[in-house]
Amino acid sequence: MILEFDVIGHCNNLNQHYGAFLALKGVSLELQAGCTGLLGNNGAGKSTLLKTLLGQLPVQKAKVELLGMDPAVEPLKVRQRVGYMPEREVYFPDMTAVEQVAFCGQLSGMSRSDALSRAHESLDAVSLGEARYRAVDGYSTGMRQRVKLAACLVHGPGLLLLDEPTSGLDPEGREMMLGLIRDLAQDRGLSIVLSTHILQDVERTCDWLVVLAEGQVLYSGARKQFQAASGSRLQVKVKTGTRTMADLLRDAGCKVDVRPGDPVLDVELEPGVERDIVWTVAKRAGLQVRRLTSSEGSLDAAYARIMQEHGDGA
Amino acid sequence: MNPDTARIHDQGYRPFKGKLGSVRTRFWPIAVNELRLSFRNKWFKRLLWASFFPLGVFSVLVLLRHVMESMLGPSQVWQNFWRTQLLFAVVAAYFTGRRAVGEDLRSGALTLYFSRAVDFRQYLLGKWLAVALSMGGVLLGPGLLLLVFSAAMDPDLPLSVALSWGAILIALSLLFALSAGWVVLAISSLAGRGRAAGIVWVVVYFASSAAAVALSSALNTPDLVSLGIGDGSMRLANELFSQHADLATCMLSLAGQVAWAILGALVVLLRLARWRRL
Repeated sequence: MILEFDVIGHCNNLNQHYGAFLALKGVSLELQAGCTGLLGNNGAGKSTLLKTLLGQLPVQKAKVELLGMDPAVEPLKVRQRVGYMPEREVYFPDMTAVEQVAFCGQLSGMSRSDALSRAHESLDAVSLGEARYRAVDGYSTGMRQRVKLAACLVHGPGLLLLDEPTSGLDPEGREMMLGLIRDLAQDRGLSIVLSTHILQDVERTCDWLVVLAEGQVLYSGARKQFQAASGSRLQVKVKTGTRTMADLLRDAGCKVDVRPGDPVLDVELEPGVERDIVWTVAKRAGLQVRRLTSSEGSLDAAYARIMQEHGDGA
Repeated sequence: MNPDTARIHDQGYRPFKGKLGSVRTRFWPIAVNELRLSFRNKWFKRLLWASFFPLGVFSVLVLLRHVMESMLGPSQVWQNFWRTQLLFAVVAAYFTGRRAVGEDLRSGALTLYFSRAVDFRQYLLGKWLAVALSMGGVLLGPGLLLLVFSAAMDPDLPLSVALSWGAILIALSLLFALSAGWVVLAISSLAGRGRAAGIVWVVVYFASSAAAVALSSALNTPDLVSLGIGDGSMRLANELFSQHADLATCMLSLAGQVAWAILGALVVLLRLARWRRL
């Protein structure tokens, strides 16, 4: 099922309590079609948000919509069209992977024969070979993650909610999982919400980003825009006068790293400052620029900045 | 096709173009799956076969009814048949009920159930139905065959009597599946590990009878024996299959069976409280 929405879901002023603890505080956001990273530290409210979108938690005095439906009113219809991959290691006991995935298909409303053939297709898609005929109880973490993803795909959902899909995976397993997610989102047209605290996973797979901290949305929008807002980085090499150049750039409001014995300056431009500042400063001081390369602002830097701002604000 | 020009087929993910069924019948795959898993156990299959052995013995008794009528009338045949089949039903519940809820709690499978289009009622109905079908299989299967055999061997048997025996069999099976089924689900939800739950179930079944007997002796009220899970069903069967059923005993036995069902259901609801809203 390929979704025909640009905006696949939104929530407005959503609060969620666990007893006295407020897990989500006035969350308002829009989920765009494509791959969205739901980023936040442990306890930020990511899993709570996913459970709310699935209709597993009650919604009070807030407007939540997913795929044109209200999860609080029609939770079963929402779950029929959404694939959810939980974070925890969960499985149906005493069943092989193919039985497990087929049973998930049946629980989503597929006939037994459809579910069985789709289970094989889904397990092919996640590259689980002969091991699919073994009981899941004895699987490695990586294999279980793949089975969970196959179970999530079996009924052909238009939207996948993946909760920490790379959690507990070794580098090779993680690489494979990210490849699968990228393939599903970019080549197969599925919309994905990827909840994680691993920045690199988001950087490699997602076009959209929601940053959560302590139950609040700190950012919601395009990932590249988020990274650009943190400023960009330049590597500057001058023929002579490295130290003078560094001082002048600092005076112009840039952050400059000077490494002893290294003629290359690492310059971080503030948001809104153009790279032409380097030429302007060099011309004014009569210095000759030998090399000027730039790189996009990193997600790490942008995330660190927004978290710091949130911490200062709090 | 020339192998040099053969197309490479994409084996990646493909969208599902079929139809998804109604969300109101999700209890059925849950029940069937539970039964399928139980059938993997060779002892469960042997139990099902063995539950038909008493049918042979009681068929012989039906054949010899004229010789033995003074010792064993049709009522006694049915009463003893029910008493025997109940033991098979208890063991059937051991196999299907022991893993029902507890294993789901232990493995986190509830998260998988409720992330699908399955609600709490469908889940519980599916789990109970699996236990009920297995118990119904060993109670009703041989019972209905014995009824057909009795009717075939006795042309004088009035149709109304044969039908009433059939109705009693169905009602007793349903009632026992309700009470025992919910009790075994409750034990499973508390015990966690399947085997432990099964053993506790068998202990509770016999202990409830012992406790009811002790209570009836202490209070000098023989009818209180009906409060045991098995004894209640047996006494109800005795009354219903006899020529002159005592209404008070029937009502007390019925109340005992319903009380066990309610108690079991309450325990399950309390144990799964956090999932109940789904």
